[in-house]
Amino acid sequence: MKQIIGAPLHLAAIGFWQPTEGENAAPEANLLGARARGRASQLTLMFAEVLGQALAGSGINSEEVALIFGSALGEMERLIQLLTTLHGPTHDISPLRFQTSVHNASAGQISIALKNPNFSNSLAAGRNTVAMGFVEAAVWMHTRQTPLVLVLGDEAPPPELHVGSTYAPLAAAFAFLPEAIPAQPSATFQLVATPSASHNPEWADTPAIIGNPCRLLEPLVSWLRAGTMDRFELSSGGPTQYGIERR
Amino acid sequence: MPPLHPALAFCTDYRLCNALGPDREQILRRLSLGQTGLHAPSFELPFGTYVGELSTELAPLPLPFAGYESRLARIGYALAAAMESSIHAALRRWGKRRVALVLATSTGGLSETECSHLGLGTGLPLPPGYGLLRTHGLGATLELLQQVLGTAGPAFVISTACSSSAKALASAQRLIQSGVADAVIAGGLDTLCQTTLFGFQALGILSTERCKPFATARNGINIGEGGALILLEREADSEIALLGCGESSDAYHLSAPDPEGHGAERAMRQALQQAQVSPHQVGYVNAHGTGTPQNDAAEALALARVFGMGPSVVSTKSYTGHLLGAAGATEAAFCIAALEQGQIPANLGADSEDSLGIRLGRETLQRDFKFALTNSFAFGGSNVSLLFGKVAR
Repeated sequence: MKQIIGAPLHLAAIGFWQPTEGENAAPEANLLGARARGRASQLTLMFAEVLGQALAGSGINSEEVALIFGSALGEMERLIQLLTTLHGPTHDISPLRFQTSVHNASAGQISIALKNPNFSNSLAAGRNTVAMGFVEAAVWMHTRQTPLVLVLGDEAPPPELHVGSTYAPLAAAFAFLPEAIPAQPSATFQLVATPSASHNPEWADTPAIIGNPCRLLEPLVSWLRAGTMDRFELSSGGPTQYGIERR
Repeated sequence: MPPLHPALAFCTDYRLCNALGPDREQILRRLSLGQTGLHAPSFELPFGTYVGELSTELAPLPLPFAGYESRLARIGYALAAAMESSIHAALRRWGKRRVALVLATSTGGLSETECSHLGLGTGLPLPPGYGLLRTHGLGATLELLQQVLGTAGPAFVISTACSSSAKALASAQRLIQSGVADAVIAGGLDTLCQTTLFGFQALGILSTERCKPFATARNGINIGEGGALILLEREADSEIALLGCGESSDAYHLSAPDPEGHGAERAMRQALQQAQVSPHQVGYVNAHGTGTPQNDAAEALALARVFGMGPSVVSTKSYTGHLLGAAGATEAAFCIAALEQGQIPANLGADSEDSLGIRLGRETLQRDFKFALTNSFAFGGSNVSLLFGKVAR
């Protein structure tokens, strides 16, 4: 039986970033000031870049928007820098690196840059991070009904802790409004949950990460922009299947 | 759109483990006796501090779940096992798809990653079974508990540093209010790690002695470890419920609070407003109260503006240490216990006079009261206030 999750999602704009093939360029992230950009991690730069795109495209007031960030692994680059220092001769950890190693470092830096005193959250859900980000967003829109941007993504894995394969970083942002957008009737979506037809009880117990935990973002963005199918699957393998449907 | 339900979520069970003991009963007994769990660390550090270490051995995970082995996973598994009968009752009552799981952690499997990284530096390979998502990932213990408990509702982890598990409870309340879940197992887990100890030392805010929140001579925090799980349900026989949540951002500094406490004040007023409770009705505030001069001063200013000399304000971090991602749920559980028992713990190490414009209890108080509020603040300027109360049945 299909369960509707939260409120309809009225999509006002999308932001998306992934490195161009063969390059490892950092995103511009103009939303952050020059000083903040200089000390931001790649994840924070990616999040600031896609959030900036979504805010610009939606016209949502950046000082009032609610923000939900999601990343399966968070600030791994910063963590490896800390561990390298911790296990070096001095153990002399940089206070700045420590502050920016927490999972909500992006949320903090971005709320400061935007002068935004409102709600922000930072979540993770392993392989289901994209789906659970949408759950938290749809529930927020149902209970609080304020403009919201959902920002999702993951860095490339640290090679020393993820031996044998790698994947590219990527991030996307989705700006939602509490009311339907008259000029864009096709931009309303509904998050739904259904019992999984092929639930493997050991679905999560797979040691290897196959690709970026947020890799669904690229086909999801394509589908939201131009897809013709009625439904896009946001999760697979677990006891419950989450999908997003065009209304 | 599905109907919006009332914002209240009944607390039907809660379980804890921390430096005060391995279970709820021992922890609450020691809390009522004013006994601290803070001691000099059992491991070597190149600086002096006190920590809130779990004093009991954590049992290994059962073999089918051994792939998730970590200290954090052991804490999560032990708490879930202690709550098993209540969770199974909720699963029977509501159905597995209507029971959600919202955990919180700031460290995840960091202690195992520290060991693995140290080994790499000496030429050792990664330990067998180590996986980024399955060992280190914030979602690892979430996946473990989903499988152990058999829940099939939404499942995610909130990680906003020291406010994480208070925000997990706020997310849980929204899941119930929106009708997406009928019951939510919510809480937080964190373990002592080198990275956090050295990191807070680098920030210059670790105390070399037992922390003394709100005391004039306070000089920093002590780090602890442990966890708390709280079962929230849409309807229950319990008379205690989560009634209001407030969440705000300081938008001020990455690790220092707004010195005027405006973000903290907004969070408290939002929680009171959602619960439709007046400040004078609140009998007990479990403050964030880390013990640093700046944090406590900012929180006291905010508390004084909201409550004045009304409720008893207590920081329980002088008992457990700062449990980081598990602090909010642990201190929410202390509020639930205080409402159940009509007993407010004492501030340990507090001054003999109230000098901050708030009422700081120095003795354990027996008092019947209906509402309790807990604050959690974090890096990134993340503020959360949760209001619990007795609901007339």
